[in-house]
Amino acid sequence: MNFVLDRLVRRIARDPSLLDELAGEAKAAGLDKGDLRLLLAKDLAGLRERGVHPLLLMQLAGALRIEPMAALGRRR
Amino acid sequence: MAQLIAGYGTSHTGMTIRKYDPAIPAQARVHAAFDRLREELEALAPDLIVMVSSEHLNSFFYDSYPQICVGLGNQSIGWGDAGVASRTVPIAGDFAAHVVKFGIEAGFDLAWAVEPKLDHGFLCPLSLLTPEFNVPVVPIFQNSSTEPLPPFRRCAELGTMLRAAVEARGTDERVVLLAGGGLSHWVATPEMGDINSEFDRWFLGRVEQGDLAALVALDVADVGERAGNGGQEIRNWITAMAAGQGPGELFCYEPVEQWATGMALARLFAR
Repeated sequence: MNFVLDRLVRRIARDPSLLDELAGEAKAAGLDKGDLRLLLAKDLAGLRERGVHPLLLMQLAGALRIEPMAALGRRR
Repeated sequence: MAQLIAGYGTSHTGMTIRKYDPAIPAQARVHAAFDRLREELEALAPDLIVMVSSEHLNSFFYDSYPQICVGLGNQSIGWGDAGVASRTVPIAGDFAAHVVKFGIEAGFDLAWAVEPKLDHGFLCPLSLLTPEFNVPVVPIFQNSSTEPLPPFRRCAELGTMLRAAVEARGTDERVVLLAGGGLSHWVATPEMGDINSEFDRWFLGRVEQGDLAALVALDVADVGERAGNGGQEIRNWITAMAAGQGPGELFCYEPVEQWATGMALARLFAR
């Protein structure tokens, strides 16, 4: 589990506009720079590798209108 | 005393509503099973439904994360997540408070929350089974998603306690127990889209036989491997089974490819 990243992902899933001000948010949350890059790139598979909770990945996919099966399934 | 008149299990994916295509036979059969269960509930006319289901990091998060939590109060509203419309759900608050008090006095350290919002884990089945939302509910959240997960033995003990709580109630409510979740599915993992029908059919075979012992003996990690991280929701069925005496009756099982889930509905026990 990645508590720092999970907290931020959950906030973004509820307010995707936070992505626009993510650099400040990430610093405040103590987020790893690599994780910040994954978030800005909306790289769900990369975020999964970093330990983001599966349910939060699904919430983020919904908020960002990304088809989760295509982004995360092995048939992607 | 109050009576536990029946127990049921249903899958709860929001896609049952959000992605329903009646032209696809497997999906239509699932909805027919929901219709059958809804009619059975209408005939039973319970005074309340105790519903054990799982939530999806909507109502609870890392600031406070219960393994088991009972909803108290007068009413809850839905999150409106997963394509399932938000509704107002009446809470059987007095009965819920009785469950908490009974459970704690019996050594079961239940968490409780006043009028917690409910996500699709509750709202999907309830929308299909009590569409008027005119039957009060005792919502019981059981962790199925976030490690460490409770052993299945503990989930069965919850069911045993719930039966005892019903029977200890001095008033004469007629209670239905409803479990929400499962069967095999993988959430946000590379296997997402897979369904393990072999596991699902084995599980449902145990449901039909009322073979609780075989389910309690399951290993949590092994279930995650064979039925997926979403398959851990079968623990809610195990809780409901433990509150009654099988055999169960399967209403339907369909591995619904479009919903990426093994879908099942069953009567777990009847009085």
